[in-house]
Parts: sequence; structure tokens; C-alpha cells
Amino acid sequence: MSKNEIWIICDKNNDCSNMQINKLVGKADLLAKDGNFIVTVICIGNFIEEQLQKLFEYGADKVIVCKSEKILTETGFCNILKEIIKEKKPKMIMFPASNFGKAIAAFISTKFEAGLTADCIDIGLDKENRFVFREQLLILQLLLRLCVLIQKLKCVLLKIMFLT
Amino acid sequence: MKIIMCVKSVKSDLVYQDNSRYDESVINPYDLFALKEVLSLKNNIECDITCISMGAMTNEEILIKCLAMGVDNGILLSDAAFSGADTIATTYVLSEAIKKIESYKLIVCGDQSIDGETGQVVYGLAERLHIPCISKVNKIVEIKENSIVLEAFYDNYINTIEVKMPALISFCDFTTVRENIGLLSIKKAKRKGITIWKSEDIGVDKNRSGSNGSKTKVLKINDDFIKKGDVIFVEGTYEDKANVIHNIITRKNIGEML
Repeated sequence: MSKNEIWIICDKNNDCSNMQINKLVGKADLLAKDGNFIVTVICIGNFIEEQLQKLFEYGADKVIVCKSEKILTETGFCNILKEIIKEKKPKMIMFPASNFGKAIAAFISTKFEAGLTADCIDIGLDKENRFVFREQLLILQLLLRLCVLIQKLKCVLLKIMFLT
Repeated sequence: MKIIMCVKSVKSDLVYQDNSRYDESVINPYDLFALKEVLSLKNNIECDITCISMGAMTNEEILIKCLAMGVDNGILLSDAAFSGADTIATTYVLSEAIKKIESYKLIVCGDQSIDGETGQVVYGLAERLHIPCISKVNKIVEIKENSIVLEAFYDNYINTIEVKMPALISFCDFTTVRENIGLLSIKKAKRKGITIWKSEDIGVDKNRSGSNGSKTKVLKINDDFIKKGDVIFVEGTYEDKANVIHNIITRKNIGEML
């Protein structure tokens, strides 16, 4: 049986090794050690080879690059992503919590009817190897959410600013 | 031109500090901003505005307030099957209701709700209805025959976009300034009444709406305050105080000292 994958989507079209992405890769790497996953980074755009190499240093197992010279709109980005997801079927996808990332996460999750949590501050695994997400609520309450495993795919939006 | 406006009711103590003056629930500030923008369109063009809201039956008063502000119709989606919905289930129910209202030209939403703060229902709704979605709109510049010109924020710059209608837009700002609504107009709005749609009326699949259709489940909510110690008041002479401080510095147990 092939291993399940955790995906990190890069939201910039020319910069794949910024702080946000690196932190997400780092977190995914920790999860991967606990739950036996593969960490994959998806980059759509035009990137420099050195930057892509740097992702491996932060803990990525695989980097998938879709070369695209022109700047993509949200719809274009989604269409490409949909095709890759259909083919590879990842277990969980992380998006940086930028405006663009949020939009993409919502579009994709609706398309695949997958669970979506916004502004996550932490991710863990429970006994059955399912993901538990924490998100911050107003009035400083913490909300623990468990994605129901109806669909294999789950989306998570990670606000990396809160993650340490 | 037919415009659909999505509103949400939120608890007033999340919005106003002094909530004794206000009702228990108020219109979400982000939606209120959008609503005011849409109502200002009425000065220039002829349009028919429908407010739609999903929630408990108590949301009726929110919609009546919208009617009093100048909205033409109010529709409340209220059913036990809709409760406990997450983003996916909410967009499903809303999209089914909007499909029932035919021949709409524009759907307007607020940026996000003040209690959920996901801000992602907008995108999901557009995806389900297969219409373009423009988020973070600053203002509506011009409305043409079959398209609309908008100014929208996009990260660090403002785009001026022309979109074909039907389209979905969400405004970027919020307001907490409440409009003065006359008693007479509230009375009129109450007489006019709002439409209430149950799950049978819009033909939703009960397995896909509400908590049944939600892909996420709240496990528990807990306070994250970790209290590491109490405040200690040191009384007595200067010598006692100096002793306590000395012990803190030399890392002796403070509890033993007192």
C-alpha cells in the first residue's frame, strides 16, 4: 500500500521558500514522522532551482512543480490543482492563510466536498491516525475539531503566524 | 435588476461593548456594511433586493430590520436540519435556496462573520453556483447592462475589474454604525412579513445539510488560559519585603516564606 500524503500548496508564483511555506513544511514533517506520511510541496509558477532545493532542507520528501510563465488567476490555479488532486488523492492539504490561499482552499474543498478548517493554530493526530485541528476562536477560546473521514481528502487552512 | 444579499445574525455582545441598549442579536457588521452599499445603489438604478439568512427562527427580527431599512424581500432559511452546519453544509443550503430564487443578477455578501471568522462561505457559494467571485470589493463603480465594474483589493494594490453578471461579490469592510430606523417603517415591515423556507421548500438533501453534512466536527472547546501562579501581596516592614525579594532572587520557594 502506498503511503498517504500531506500536501503543502505554495501560494506565490515565483517565491516558494518564504517563511510561511517553510514553517508549514516543518510542521508537516513532524506530523509525517508520527503518522507515517509523505510530505509533498506543490508549486505552480516559475521558480528558481535553488529555492526548490531549499524545500528539501526543511523536510519535504517530494516537490511537484507545474511550470507556468504567466501569472495565474484564482480560477486558473484551481483548475490545475483540481487535476493534480484527482490523480494523486492526498490525505490532507495545507494552505497558507493569505487571501489567495483562503480562496483556493474554499474553492477546492467545495469541489471535492472535503472538510475545511480556517485559521488553524495547531494540528495533531489522534489514536486512529486522524487529524485533529485546533483553531482560535474569539474571546480566546480554543476549538478542537475533528475532520470526519467521509471523504479521503481533507483541506486545512493554516494560519502559520500562530504556529510555533 | 435582482440582487440577493446574504446576512447573518450575530450576538450583540460580540459587536457592542454596552449591549444593554441593543437587542440580543444584531446584523453581522460586515454584512451591515455591504447592505448599506447595496441600498445606496437604489438611488441610481431600479433594483429589487432580497435578503436571505440562515439560522434560528429568532433571526426573523433581523430580516424585519433589513426590510425596514429598504430591502424588498426577506427570506429566512430555518430548519432543525440546517443547524450545526460548517462551511461546506452552509454553502450547500444557501446555494440551493439561491437556485430557487431565479433570474438574479448579483449576489452580495459581507467579508466574513464576526463569530466564525472563516470568510470562506463566499468562495464556496460561488463554486457551487458556478459564477465568478470577486472578494474584498472596495466599491461598485458602475453597473452596465450585463456587467458590473468594481474596485477590489488584491493584496497590496487595488484592481478595477469588469465582471459579467450574474456574479458574487463580497465587500471588504465593516461598520458598527447603526442606522436609525423609524418605528413606522418597522411596523410596515412587520406587516409585510418575511418568507420562511423549510428544508422541504428548497428540496435539500438532509444528509448533506446541517451537522449531518458537515465534514468537520467540534470535539470540544476549552479555555486556553494556563495560570501559572497567583499574585502575592507582601505586607509588613521594609525588611520583610526585602527578604521576600531576596528569596525570589535566590530562587527559594516563595510559598514557604509566607
